[in-house]
Amino acid sequence: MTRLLTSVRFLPLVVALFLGVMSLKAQAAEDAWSSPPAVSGGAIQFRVAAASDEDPVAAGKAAAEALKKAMGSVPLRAVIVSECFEDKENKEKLLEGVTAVLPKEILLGSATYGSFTQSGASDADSVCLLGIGGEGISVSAGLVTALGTAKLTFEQQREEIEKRLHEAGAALANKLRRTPQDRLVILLADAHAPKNQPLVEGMQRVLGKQFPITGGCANKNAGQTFVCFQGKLHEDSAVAVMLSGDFSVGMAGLQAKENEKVISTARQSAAAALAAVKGQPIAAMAFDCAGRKGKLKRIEDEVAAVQESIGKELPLFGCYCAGEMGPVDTMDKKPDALSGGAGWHIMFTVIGR
Amino acid sequence: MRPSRIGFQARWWRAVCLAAALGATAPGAEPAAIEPVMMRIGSFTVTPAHTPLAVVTVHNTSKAAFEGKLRVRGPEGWTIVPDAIEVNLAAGATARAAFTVQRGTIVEANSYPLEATLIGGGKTFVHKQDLVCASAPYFRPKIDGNVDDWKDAIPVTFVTGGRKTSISTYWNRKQFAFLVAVEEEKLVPWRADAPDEPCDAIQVAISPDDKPTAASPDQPAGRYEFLLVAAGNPGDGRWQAKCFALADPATTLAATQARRDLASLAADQVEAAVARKGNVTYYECAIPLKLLSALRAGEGREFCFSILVHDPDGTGIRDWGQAAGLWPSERNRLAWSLWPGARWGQEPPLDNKTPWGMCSSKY
Repeated sequence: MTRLLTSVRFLPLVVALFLGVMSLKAQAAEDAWSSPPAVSGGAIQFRVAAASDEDPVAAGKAAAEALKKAMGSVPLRAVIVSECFEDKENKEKLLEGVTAVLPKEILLGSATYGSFTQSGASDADSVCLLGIGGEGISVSAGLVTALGTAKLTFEQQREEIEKRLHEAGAALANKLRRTPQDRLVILLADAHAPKNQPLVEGMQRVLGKQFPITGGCANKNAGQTFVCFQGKLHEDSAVAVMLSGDFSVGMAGLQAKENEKVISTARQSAAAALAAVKGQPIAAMAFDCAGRKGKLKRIEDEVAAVQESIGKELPLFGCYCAGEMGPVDTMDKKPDALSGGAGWHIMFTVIGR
Repeated sequence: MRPSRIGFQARWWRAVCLAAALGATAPGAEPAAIEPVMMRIGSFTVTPAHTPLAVVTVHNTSKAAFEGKLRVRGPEGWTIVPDAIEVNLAAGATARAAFTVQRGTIVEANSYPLEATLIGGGKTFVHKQDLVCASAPYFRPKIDGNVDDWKDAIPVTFVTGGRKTSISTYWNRKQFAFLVAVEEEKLVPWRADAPDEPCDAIQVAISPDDKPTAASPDQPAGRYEFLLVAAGNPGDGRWQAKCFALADPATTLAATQARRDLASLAADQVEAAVARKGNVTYYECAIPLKLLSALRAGEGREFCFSILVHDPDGTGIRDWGQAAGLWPSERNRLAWSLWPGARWGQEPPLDNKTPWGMCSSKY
């Protein structure tokens, strides 16, 4: 009797707890996750940290600790990971190092061919973290798996590739929480150029052709093609991250395949993105082609060119990819779409407020 | 055999000196070119699906300046931009014009017919060439004489004297690897106890840049060079493989032409295997990148790579440079190391500077 009364007395609390758990689950399904909504006028902070070390655990931990310190008291909403460690075993060790410091649930990213920041460029055995934080910004992320196009070729299965990636792109966009303050999608996918174009088109079917989408394709080397969602690695998959809040976005994309032009297009795209943003710039991100990096006589020249345009103080998150998403610089680009998928590009985005 | 080799070498030394005195760019320069304007198109260094550059090298062999408009046409359905490039060449000058394959299609045969047309001075010059994609995808092959690992490479095939040679390459974070499949009646192994005897071999040159090999023997080689031979007796179709490091970028060209004992050049860090199946000999090799430090391996990286197949009892020398479209004026003895057991042809081989790329994995 006593036990029953007690139970009845606590029933409202149990119901409330149940509803709370359900609410949390709605925000954190296995393939979708959202941070709390953005608070108008709240702080927005982007910070970047990088580390290189043959020991992936040490690299992950060092970068995570540096990012945590750089964020200070500003709460992290999400962390974008660009990692360049060989093989799943080492990639998992890297994440082990990162998650020893930062919450696993907010880790999103992909395997890349290296990264660059205001401190310079790195490639093998390196990691770069972009911390996105503050109450003024919200993050909603989604994951689609089993894209099913990795072994298909455009020469033989073009229609099948386009069908599958249009569907995957639309499905991915539908996993994202939508708000009136949606500003930018970052797309990270195992869909090497030119497969990234139909994936972007799929997202545009839901988001609209003029919605700003940027991002990069995962390292496509055999055994490396992973994206990261909530701290877990997935092959043959794509991750999208919607950033929402009271901020503006400036974007530009240019392609190049030779040393001098790689340098000049980096400078020009950074300048164009900066010119396009409203308000004060608070961060920059660049999804750059690994092939462009290969054409450089001196890898540091491209970063230096970017710095000529944006200076050396703005937080800069750059990574080398197997295909880039953003404003395409080709003669056959879709004229009515802001973003597309291509190769050989640097896709530059400046966030302003 | 040795006196003959020395005599041959001496003849080339004289040619080198004469060419240098005449200001020729290569010691093997042949008499006046047939066309007043010569063209060649460099191999693609990424597949046609990944918007490669089609780089046309144009050489004005005449004694007057040349102005013209260059166009490149690809297979049906391809889009190549820009439509045309203006070419202005002083007498004797060489220039390169880069077009982009905006839309291209990969074919299994890895052979793409391109046509460059240059109009100027009231004349039209047409150059047709079957291009290949010469690129090493990322992969870690096991070097064991079993060629199954090579199905994701991009084989480059050429024919010399009716016999096929096929070159496949890979790279990874630790190695640059190649498989050369040589169609031949018989494999003649190298004998340590008779090093001057003719033998079959693969000679490869790997260079960090495309600067032509110098004409002066006191200049550095600017290339890594390796020789791969079969040795011993075959067991189950497999031979013992030996690899020798013939040059690195700092080696003088004179040293590459000197007689050297191969045994002293053994490159034990190189993994190698030689196998034979039917009438094809397979040379498989992986060179540690630490032996190729100037190469700066990475996706999108371009370098120069060429091979000579030594088949003394069959086709003689098979030269990839010839299949890649190098001009006769680019023959240069200094571009390849001499070694005991080699049997050179009447003419020296072509320079070793043909473009090659490193790219991501095929899928």
